[in-house]
Amino acid sequence: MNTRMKQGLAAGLLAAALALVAWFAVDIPFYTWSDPLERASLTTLRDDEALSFSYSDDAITLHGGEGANIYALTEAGLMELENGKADSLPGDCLGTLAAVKPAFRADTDGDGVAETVVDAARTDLAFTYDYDHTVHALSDDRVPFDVLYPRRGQFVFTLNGAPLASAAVTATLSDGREVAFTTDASGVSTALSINDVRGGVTFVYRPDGAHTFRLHYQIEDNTVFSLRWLKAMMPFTLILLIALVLIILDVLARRAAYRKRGLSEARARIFQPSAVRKRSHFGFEIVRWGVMLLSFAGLIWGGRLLGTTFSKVDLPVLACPYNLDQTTSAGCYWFSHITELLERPPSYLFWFLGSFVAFALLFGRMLCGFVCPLGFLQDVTHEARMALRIEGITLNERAYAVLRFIKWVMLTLFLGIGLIGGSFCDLCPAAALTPALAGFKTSLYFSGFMMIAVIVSGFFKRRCFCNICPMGYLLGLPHKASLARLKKDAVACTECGACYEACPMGIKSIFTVREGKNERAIDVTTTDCIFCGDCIRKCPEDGALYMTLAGVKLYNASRMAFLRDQAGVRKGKREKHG
Amino acid sequence: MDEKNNIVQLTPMEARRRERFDRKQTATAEKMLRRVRELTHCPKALTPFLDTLSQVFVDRQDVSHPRNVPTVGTYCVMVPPELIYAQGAMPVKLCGGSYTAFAVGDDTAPRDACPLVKAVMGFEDIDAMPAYQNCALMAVPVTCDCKKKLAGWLSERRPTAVLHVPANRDRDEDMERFVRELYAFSDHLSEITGVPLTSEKLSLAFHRLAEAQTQLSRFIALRRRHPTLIRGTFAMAVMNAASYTWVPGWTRQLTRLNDELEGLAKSNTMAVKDNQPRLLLTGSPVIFPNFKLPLLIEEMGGLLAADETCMGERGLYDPPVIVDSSLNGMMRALANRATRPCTCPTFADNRRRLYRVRQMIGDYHIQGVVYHVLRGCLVYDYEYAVMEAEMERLGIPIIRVETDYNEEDVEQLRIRIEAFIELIKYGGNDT
Repeated sequence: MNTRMKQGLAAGLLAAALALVAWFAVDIPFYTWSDPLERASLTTLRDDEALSFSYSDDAITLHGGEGANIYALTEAGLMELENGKADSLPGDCLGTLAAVKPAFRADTDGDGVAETVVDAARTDLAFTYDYDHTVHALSDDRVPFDVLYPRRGQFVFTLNGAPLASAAVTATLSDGREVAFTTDASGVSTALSINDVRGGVTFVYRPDGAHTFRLHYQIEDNTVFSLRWLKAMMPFTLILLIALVLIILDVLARRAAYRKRGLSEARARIFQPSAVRKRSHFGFEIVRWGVMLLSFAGLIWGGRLLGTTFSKVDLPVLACPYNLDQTTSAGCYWFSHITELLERPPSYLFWFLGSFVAFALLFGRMLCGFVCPLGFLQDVTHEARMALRIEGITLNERAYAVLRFIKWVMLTLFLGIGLIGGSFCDLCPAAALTPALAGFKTSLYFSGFMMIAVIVSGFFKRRCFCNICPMGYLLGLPHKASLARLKKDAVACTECGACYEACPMGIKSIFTVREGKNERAIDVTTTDCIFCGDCIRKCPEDGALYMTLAGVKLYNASRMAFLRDQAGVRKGKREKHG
Repeated sequence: MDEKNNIVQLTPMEARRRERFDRKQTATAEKMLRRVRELTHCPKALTPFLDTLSQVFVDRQDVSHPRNVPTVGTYCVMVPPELIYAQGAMPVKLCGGSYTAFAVGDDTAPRDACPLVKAVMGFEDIDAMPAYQNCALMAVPVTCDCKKKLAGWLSERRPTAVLHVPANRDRDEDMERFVRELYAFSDHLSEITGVPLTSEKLSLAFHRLAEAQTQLSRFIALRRRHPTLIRGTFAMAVMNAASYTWVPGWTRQLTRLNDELEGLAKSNTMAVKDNQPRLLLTGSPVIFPNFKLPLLIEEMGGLLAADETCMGERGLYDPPVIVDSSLNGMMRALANRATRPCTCPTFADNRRRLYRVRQMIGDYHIQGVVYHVLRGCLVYDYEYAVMEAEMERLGIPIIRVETDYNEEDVEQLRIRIEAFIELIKYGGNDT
């Protein structure tokens, strides 16, 4: 058997193994939360408070439940819960609970005339366990005034099953503030921000002087830095711990192997912490870290911080959409679930395609270098290694060729597995990161193991996962039309190869290309380039490499800036002789 | 193996030979230094550099370095000084430019060997240069054929570390191989100095060299000013002195020179007239005391605006680029710097040298190129044809000067250089 055939066979086996893992990803759980319906319990308090639901971790309490009928929404419709108490909810429950008091007459608007009052409460707990935008209307006479919360920041009001168009509704927030607004023609209002809703909100609708409908709405809470949040963080913490153990084992194993192979003693000490620290200077790199930090925060707590999300925009990076609080939606979900996308209204398709094209043309893979939370995590692990001065794993052309092959397999799985009934999300490492940090209890299947691999590989080889990321590859494909460009002055370049050494994506052409239309400005942008700017930062030749966005020079290589970086060590330790 | 101790054991004949050597060597070096000093517009801050050269070649003393620090003789820019400093030694570049030593080495080396190698062998034979004698280790990268034989010849006489240099550098494996060479070299250094390599020591050495390169880059930026602030011969003296100076000291000296040049720039005191032809010197190394070419150029009314030679600007020009701050990362940076940007023609593929020269032509407003070929230096001679074709394309006149270290052809060279300068001055360059 010749080498070529052997390589082909190895590649085939690798691809088959990956495909097999992807197909059975959901059967390889890393950490699964039990169904919220099993976890949740409901207690009814007959206190004097207004009719409302509240959460304490998984325990739901109904306040003011005196005389109220309590229902769970199932696929068959509203089902009354006996005794207003449930240790576990019915198996086919859709995650929505409602309580309603029999209509009574009272004067609530203060005009001296008593009217018919319908007092109800609703809560949805489905949000935190699946990426499902579907919300279910109660569609029941017993709760005539209903509110749907299909998307963060958007409410749909219905009365007796029909949209409540152009109606004046008053919302009383948990802090006592009152917001009055009018719904649009399809009963939609976007007057309330996410944070207004978080603590529960009471809607009051008065169609005429004789009727008042009151509904208290509460979504399942996921407050950050609470006990619940710590619980949600558990799988990720576990991942970090396992990754740490693996890293330590790797360091020890390699040290032993180097000693055994009789390599230089200096080399065998692969872990050499040092008091010498680099001093960083303001520049592109700091800006990039700033943007990464901001977008990391935004993609985790964006909804919370801004009070709203741009959920129509699909950001094409691996920021897990299971986190419903992230600033934008994620394009990755629709790429990997094309069939689901086609079932949506055409406007979905329009927004999805529109935002992908806009992002790809405006920034391209600059998003990978600046925005992607998974990329940020990998950069952090890389910096940790730099600080500890642990020997990394440097890849050469052959190793990069293997990664490229894995990337194509990943791409096939990414686009294809949704078509045959699987889900890429069960495999995707991003599912382990942002939802957990935002406080969502997301069950992790093979994703958890992938995340360990991402952290460990990213520690030893900067942005290792980015090399096989299917989303990034798709984003980079239209790079020829993108406004972000990386250019090289072939005459100024000394071919020192520093750019290639610095490149986390192993783009060798940046170092070897010499010919081009205009040799002072050869376009060296490739599908793989994530615009991290490290090639430029490490380039010691004035103007030999530079980055432009829409023709504007963003970053230019400078010898003096490079040397300042290189010579800049923090004082405190002087050499002995000299 | 040879215990080189004192003059005491010398036979009378050897003593005479040695005395002759001393006299001649001192005279040549002194003459060259005098000619350098006699050029106009010599900056005051140049003195320490010339003093260093004088100390090593005229007074024949050892290089100045802190006590208990051994010196390591290096025979090429491909030996990373960072590594040597990190392991508690001082690198001294020993590529020889001495005619006297060349004459001695002529008896040992084959006729067609290059003068550089002959001079090195002469130094070894005559054993009268403390800077040379006192080296605890010789580091010889195997670049050209002469260096390869030199490595073998030296290793029979001295502790010698031979570094295998890949013939090409675009493939990753080539560079990785050189990383292993550097680790082996580091082990060799540890044996000599007793100082093991650590990431902390290496990063401090990087810092030390980066400071020198920062000043060098400042110096280069000042040199690129048009009209010119400093003559190329002076710059070559600065770079040659770097071979024999403890690097922090050299950095301080260069800082002072840069400050003086900046002052000159402010007061608009230029070194030469605007209309002097600006020449670039490239090719085989120009090593003190063989300064005849730069001196001829500048004595004949030309301006040596820049040089692309490995004992000149290129000797310290390329910085190692730390991408990964682990020890292995820094070793890779050293290997990368030693091979990839190097424009030495001993590499099989060396198109980058043309680009380098083109960039320098733009940076320094070069009007003509002097291509130096040391007799016997085949690799540089090979590249002349390519360089000539490229210069023709660019419309830059180029002259090939083949010579060695002896002074017999000076008059002939003078005429050729003068004609070349006249050609640039009065037409020929307006195409």
